[in-house]
Amino acid sequence: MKFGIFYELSVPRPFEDNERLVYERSLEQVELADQLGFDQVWAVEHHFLEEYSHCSAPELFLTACAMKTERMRVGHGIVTCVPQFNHPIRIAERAAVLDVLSGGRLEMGTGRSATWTELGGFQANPDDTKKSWDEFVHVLPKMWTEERLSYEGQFFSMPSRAVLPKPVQKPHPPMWVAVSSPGTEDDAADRGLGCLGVNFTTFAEQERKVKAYRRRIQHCDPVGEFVNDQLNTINFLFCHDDSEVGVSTGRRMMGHFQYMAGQLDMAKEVYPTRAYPTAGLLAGARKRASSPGDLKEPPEGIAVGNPDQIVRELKKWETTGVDRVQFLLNAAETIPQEQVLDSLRLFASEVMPHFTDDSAAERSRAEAARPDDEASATDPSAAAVGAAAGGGGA
Amino acid sequence: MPLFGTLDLDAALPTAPVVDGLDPEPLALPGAGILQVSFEVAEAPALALTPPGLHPSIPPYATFSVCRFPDSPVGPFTLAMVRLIVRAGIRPRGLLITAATDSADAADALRRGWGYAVTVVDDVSLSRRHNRIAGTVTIGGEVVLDVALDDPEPVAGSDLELFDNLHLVRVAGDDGPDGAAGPEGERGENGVDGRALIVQVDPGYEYRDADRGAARLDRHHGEAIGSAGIDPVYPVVAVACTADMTLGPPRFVIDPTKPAVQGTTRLDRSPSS
Repeated sequence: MKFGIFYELSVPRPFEDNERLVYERSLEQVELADQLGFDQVWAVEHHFLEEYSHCSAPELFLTACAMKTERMRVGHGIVTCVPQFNHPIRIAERAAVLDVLSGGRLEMGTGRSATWTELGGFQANPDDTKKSWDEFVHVLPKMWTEERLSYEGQFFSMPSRAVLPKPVQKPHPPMWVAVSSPGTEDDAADRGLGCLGVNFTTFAEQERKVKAYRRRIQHCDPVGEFVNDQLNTINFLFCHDDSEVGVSTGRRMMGHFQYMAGQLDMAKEVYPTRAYPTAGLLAGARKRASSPGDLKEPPEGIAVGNPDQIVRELKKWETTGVDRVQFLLNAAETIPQEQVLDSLRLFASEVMPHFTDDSAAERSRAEAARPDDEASATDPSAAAVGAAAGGGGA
Repeated sequence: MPLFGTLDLDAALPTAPVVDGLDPEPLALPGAGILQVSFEVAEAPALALTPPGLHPSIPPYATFSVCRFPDSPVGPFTLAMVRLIVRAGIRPRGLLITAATDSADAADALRRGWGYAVTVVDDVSLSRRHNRIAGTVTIGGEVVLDVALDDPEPVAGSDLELFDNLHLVRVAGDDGPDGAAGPEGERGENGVDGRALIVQVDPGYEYRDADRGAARLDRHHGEAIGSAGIDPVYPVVAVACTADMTLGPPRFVIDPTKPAVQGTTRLDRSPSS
């Protein structure tokens, strides 16, 4: 299982003092993470989300990340595929430039926004975002791989042009979609896209989703030149030798993050539409807010606490077949920078060595590739998952 | 930390409704016709209407509602409400800014039972056509609120989010408008004392039908209807539904001087209490 870091770039008030600070500290974390062996850095695209996320130009932040690192892959998590936010030609161009500048390290995440704050701000119709996302993800690989392209679609059209530059990675960078609404994991599987889980779901829910995704993607019609069948999940990280410090600090960060998220006007809550059947990540956040659990133990599946506790929780994820885990390291500077850096160092030295192979993910793929009756009759991972899940959590 | 409201409680409390207690008899309201029109509103005046323990939503928006209740224990009535959508902690709620009804009996029941800041006006109307669902409030012969849903299209009732109300009230027996605790011995039922409170009113809905459409606001005379400071700037959406509605006793109260996450109390509704 691979580990990465994930940025919302949340900024406490007063913004004018803290925005630059947050960007500078985040880049320092990225540089250290690269040295420590973290595999990826991801950054969101959000607009107008006061405090929660000031990451409106992720391609610039990720370019800075690429310049400060040598090995880490840089991930758009995600680019909003809604025409009022981004013209698809500009998406393809910017992504290709980032792939060139990073030496072929781009991971291309796609999505459609989940807040009225953003959709209303760009005067986008919430009913249309799934449709425009679908159109964009089908045409982006063509812009990268075809010398010239002409296109006529519902949300944009273009006469024959060469979209330039082309990405370094051939045939094109791996493509992903953010999953926060039920059913989007099926959209990902059907299109051969990697699954970027951003809804902080429970371990049991994730286990079900992994199995369903693995089975479904066997029969996909890929939008690109190849299938990206990886599963990537988002988590929080605060690692400390003292369990009590680790759990309490991590919980404080989580609570602050979820509190900020709760202030946003989610599309589902403001604008009734079948395109947004749930409040996205907020549904989980509000549920957690109502269920504090045992404050001395890490919440189920969350990487906060001492190294042993974090290994235990991450082993559960590994057993489900998740390929990658991305960590949020801070929320509106709740945790001092030195503690964030120490947490990264401790994680790298004490936790990472427990996750050196990808055999669990490969087993998960093999399970999915077997016929249904055979898989259900002999499913060793299911028992292991059950035992692990029973061993901890709130 | 998100922004907090800046409402001057000392100025607001003297006119806040006085409730008899916190355990009113449930009100069954079958066949209610509900129109709710949402508009984003100007930030600064909205913040000034928000109590200090609550957060504004990002961006702030208000709902203009007109509800027709054809059958109720106090007779048929129509109720209009202007609400500002806020956050109590992380939970979205509709802070009632003002309300108007065409029934004195309904006004009395709603004010004393649940703390609706409601006045009796000349006329509140809700009309439903196939191309438009419209609501108006008339005071002194002048239409002071005129809202509508244009081009209705059916949606599922489960798609609607009508949000629970928050009402700034005083509990009967409390003379002090300053938010200070009442004297010992004047504590009301459920252990809640005589302080000013924000009462959460959370109706139950069983939907019969629901529609969504374009939000339209042709007239909003805030000074006349009691919603000065609500300054609509951008349409969001309009929804309408028919529902069997039940107005039960409040389950939560909030100390308006504290952040809602610290100042919220669940009222004990167990049979033995």
